[in-house]
Amino acid sequence: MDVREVYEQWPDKGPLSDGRRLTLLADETTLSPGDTLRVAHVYEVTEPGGELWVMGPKPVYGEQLDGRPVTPAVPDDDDPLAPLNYDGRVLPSPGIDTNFETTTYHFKRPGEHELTWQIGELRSNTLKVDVQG
Amino acid sequence: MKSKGVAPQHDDELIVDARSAAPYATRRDPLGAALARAVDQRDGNAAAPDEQHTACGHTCGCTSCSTLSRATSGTPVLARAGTAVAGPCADVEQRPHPALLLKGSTHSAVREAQRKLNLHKTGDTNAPLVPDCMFGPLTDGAVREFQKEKFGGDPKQVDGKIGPKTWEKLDAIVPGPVPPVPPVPPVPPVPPVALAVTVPDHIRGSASPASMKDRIPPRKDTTVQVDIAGLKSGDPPITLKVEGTGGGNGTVTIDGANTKSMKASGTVKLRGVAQTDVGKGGALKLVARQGATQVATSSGFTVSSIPENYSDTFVSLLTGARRGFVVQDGWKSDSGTFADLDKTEISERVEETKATGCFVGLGSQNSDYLPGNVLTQDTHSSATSTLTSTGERIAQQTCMFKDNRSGSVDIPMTNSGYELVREVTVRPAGGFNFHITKNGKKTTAKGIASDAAAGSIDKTQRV
Repeated sequence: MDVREVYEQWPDKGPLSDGRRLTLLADETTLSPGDTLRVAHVYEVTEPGGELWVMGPKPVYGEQLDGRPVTPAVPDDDDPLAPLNYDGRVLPSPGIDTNFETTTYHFKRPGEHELTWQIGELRSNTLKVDVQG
Repeated sequence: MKSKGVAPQHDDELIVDARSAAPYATRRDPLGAALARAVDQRDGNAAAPDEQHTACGHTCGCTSCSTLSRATSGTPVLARAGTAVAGPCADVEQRPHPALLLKGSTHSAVREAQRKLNLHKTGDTNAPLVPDCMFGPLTDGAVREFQKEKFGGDPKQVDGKIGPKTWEKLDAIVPGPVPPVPPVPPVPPVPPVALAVTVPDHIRGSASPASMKDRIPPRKDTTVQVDIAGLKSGDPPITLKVEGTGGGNGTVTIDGANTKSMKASGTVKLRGVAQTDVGKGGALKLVARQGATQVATSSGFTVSSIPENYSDTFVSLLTGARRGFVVQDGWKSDSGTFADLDKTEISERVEETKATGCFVGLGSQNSDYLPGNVLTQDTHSSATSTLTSTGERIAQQTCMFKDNRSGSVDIPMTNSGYELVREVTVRPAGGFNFHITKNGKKTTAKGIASDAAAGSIDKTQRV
């Protein structure tokens, strides 16, 4: 999946908060039991004056499946969007950062599921997944 | 019983004596002991024949004497069909030998004697005497020399005449007929040198890394060698042209023009003008034609600029929650114009090669592919909260790029190597020193190797 290309066309980006937003996206959200769901993560800064710390892949903190955490909570001594221990390029905004780890899921049974990603006050779109029997 | 034999070299009609079972046909000596006085044309000596054939005027079984074998009968003669010989006589060898041969004789037996004299002297039946059946002064001299050798100092025997005693000595050299000289195979004509034109298979700008597809930059000359061989004076010249131009494939000039006419090997300068559109790479070819005939072509290539020669300059120190510094990245386009890099993307690769103490766990990183025509800044930092003990971290940094015009991906950027070093040491006065450097170095990071980039930054901060 070319995350940048998919993101441009993605209809349900996360809500903007102070010119920033998080978005979860996948190339396929209607699955069969046993299929692999690969979820990509995009951080966008829509206004000038911000920064995008684009080295990675950065770990994904604060992801939830059906309201339950599936990745670690954001650590107190680090910034998941601008790691304190860092080597490399920092881009000026506006722009997007797609350099996060990809999370994967397998669903054994049919059903509907919801994924979210939250970092501090930033909360992503809700990625709805339909596993059909 | 007698029957017709193998056709001779000349016009003689030969008769084969089947009863003799001899390996050759024979013909009777028409003269016996009579002296031949034919003109020795080679040596310019003349002698009047004392017997002459009405058919040709010769005194022997020469080539013109087509009636000879019919006019005489009895002793068979050797035939040498199929071998070209010099002189007027057929290439036959006669038994018994003529009673006497001497200067002025023209007779096939003279040729046999000449060959045997040659064989005796040089081992070559064809030299030094020309076996032409004409007894001239050279043959006379050779006979005398031979007689002197064989008969010692007896002046009676050294007379230049070939009689039975001399024949006996000559036949001792080769008992029987002298083997015919094998025909010299005709020398095949030297074929004219075929036209051969060579243009480089791969048209590549000098800055092209080895792993990328063939391309030349815009705005800069790329010199290529064209070799031409076998083009004769008056032949149409060789015309060079870059075919496939336009339509988004890119455009190229050759020595500043659309075509180049050449008559000899040399170099030409290709210059990219319009860069190739994304998705249309590799459609250009350098083609050599003579008239309408294509005589050479290169593989397909692209016009595209690529990034090279990374550099970093110090911008600022980081304080507060971080320690480290910010640097300004820079790189060049091999076209000389940075904006030409609008269809390139660059990914920075950082590989940790050593981590101890407080730096354990930082790991390696890389950026996604980012626009190659936008310069940005690098940050090299560590969280102040982690710098609470000593430690060292060493990492290597290089860049790779994509050229979307040529379709080349993951190409090591030339001169993009750095080594990054962090070190935390105890300050005597208390606390720690954070020492961080970034120096150009030939290195490899995450499989991408590159020579040293430009820049050397060395900073120390208190923690």
